[in-house]
Amino acid sequence: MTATKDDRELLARLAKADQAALRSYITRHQLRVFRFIIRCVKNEAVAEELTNEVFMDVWRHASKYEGRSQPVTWLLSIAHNRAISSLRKRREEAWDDDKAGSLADEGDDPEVVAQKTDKSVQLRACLEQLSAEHKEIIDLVYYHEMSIAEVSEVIGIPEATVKTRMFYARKKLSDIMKANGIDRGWP
Amino acid sequence: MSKTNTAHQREEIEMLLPWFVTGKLDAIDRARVETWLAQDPVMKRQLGLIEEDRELSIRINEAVNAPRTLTVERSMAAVFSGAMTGLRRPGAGYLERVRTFFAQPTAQGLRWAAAAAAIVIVAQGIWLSSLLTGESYVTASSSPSAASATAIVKFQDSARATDIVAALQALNMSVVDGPKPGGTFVVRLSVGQLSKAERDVRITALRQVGNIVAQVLP
Repeated sequence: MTATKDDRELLARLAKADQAALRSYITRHQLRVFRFIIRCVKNEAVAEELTNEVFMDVWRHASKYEGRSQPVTWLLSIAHNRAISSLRKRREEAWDDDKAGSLADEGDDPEVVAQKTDKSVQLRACLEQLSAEHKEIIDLVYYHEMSIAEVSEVIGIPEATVKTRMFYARKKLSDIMKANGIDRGWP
Repeated sequence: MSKTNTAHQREEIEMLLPWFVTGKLDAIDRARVETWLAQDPVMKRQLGLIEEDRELSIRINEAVNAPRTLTVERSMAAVFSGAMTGLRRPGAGYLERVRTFFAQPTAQGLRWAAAAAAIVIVAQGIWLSSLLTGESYVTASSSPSAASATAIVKFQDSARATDIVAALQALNMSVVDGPKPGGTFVVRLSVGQLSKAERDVRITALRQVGNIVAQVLP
């Protein structure tokens, strides 16, 4: 039985208020949802709270799932809405976090500077400097392995916008790397 | 074909590259990309960069572990509590301010007093929130059967106020009275009425927070 079929069956049981199905569903998706949300909100306590709220939404609205989209797409669209709603409330705080990149600055001690010269650490620091919007689309495409249509459904934007947003996320990432001494020859 | 058209086509293909690498293009688009890459070695070099970015994204995500407080039982308890009451909790900003307040070093006794006060504030916040959102529910004090929606709880001596607030928030519970003699508190398990089974689920969830909760009395 495929994971998708499993999920569809679990959602059908959730629609009938089956508590055992809820346990299976949470067990299966809790970490995925938490990872998706924390990459957006960057706060463990908030991400934990939002993760629980996502499953609350699933429990309440499972009967509205009509099977037209992939179950995981439907789930992450709920998580996206929760994360965005939270970010809107904390926009200034999140913006400050984004600005607080971990690249070398005058206050770093020699050990930290040495760590930051390691390319993988630098790449990671650069990725973390992307806006929440750009990080989200990169994660959906690369980590969650979603198609253009699926990303479009999760974020709620047209497919053409998915393609341009992903393009500019990649471009921005390269620009940040270039500004920090990693010239990848593109763009 | 004009240069403008070619540039436009190139851009279209370039935008498809991430999904080409992840194997998420349909057959038609995949063929378009393959045909283009065969004649554009400069663009083909981007595939390596995309693969590098993809590995990075996967590594970063897989390095994220769920906090030990995020358990299936807690999520279950939060779902049932929230679903039955329609409760909307205060915003995260509010919670963060409470937590920041408790992050200040204080003497143990003062911290307990502050804990009691702050958790009551949280409970009041929930109540005010429900008023503002127009939601109504049966309060613990107004329903004859609502007594079962509370429990007497003794927290661990080592538990920090911030952790108590966080743990109760995660379970959609709140302290409504205390400290009582013996250092116990009255914890509201739900703002609505509970069946015995529902109450048992919540008490089980509460007992599982062993680093915070020392004892739950029926």
